[in-house]
Amino acid sequence: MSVERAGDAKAAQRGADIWRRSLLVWAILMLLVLLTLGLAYLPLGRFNMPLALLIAAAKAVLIGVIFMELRLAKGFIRLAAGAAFLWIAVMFALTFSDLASRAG
Amino acid sequence: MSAAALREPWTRLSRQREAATFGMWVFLTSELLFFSGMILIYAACRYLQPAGFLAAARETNVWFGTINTMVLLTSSFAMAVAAQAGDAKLRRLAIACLAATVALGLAFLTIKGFEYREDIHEHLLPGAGFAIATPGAQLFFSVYWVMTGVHAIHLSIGIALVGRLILETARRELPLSSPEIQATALYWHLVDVIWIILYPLLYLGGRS
Repeated sequence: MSVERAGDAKAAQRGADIWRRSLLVWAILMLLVLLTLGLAYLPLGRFNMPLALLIAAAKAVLIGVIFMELRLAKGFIRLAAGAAFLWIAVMFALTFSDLASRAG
Repeated sequence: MSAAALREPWTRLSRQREAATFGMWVFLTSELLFFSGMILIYAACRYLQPAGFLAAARETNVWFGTINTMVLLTSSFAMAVAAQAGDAKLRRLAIACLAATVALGLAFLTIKGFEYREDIHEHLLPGAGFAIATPGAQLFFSVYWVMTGVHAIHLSIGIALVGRLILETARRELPLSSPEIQATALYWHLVDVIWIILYPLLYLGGRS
């Protein structure tokens, strides 16, 4: 009986740990949504979009590193996750080097 | 329990889980490139027609978009708790959070449906009778419909996959240690990450 109760207490503790960690990330994510929404209405000219994308990137990193557990992942899994950004960078760089260098 | 989760050709569950995570990340990388193609179209069109893009972005419903962003982020939170609860062998918590994930996913699609209805009502569907005259605005909305539509398809697939996890874990056909829970969670989070990028592109432009 007491062993079972100790097991229950341990399970409850594990559950509480999971909630505490994840709730913190969730709260930060919600704050970032409100921040980016508010900033969208400030007249910052050309800086509105880069700032919004920066906040979006921060949200994506939080989800990737904590919720998708990249912080615990082995090197080859991080490499697989990071590889996408290399190819995306190539795709954007080549497209915009063409677009930006055209006369009209 | 773990004996049932272990499949051929792996000899250890930890290796099987690594393989599932790695395989899922390779797939997610291809998904990121797929969506990046659409984001590149957005970026190139916006570069060529900045005024039209800002005029069009102003016409999307920022409240639907913001509430849906919060709904989807919360669903990712529920999914993360579910995956950790699975690891910690907390069956009831895992199933409850998977159910919350599905409910929030369905809520997202419902809100999106109301938003689509309003968009159509306001003549924001590209073609004859389109509401905004500024050149480039139709391009924005073409990209809007395709991106949000493809995202909604991805989310629907995610809802079906998580629904399957609920049924099989509740019937004890799928052990909590199965890597399938973690792999499904990764997919769900990626669909959320894609929405996080779409949100400022489609809803926050032209507001100031």
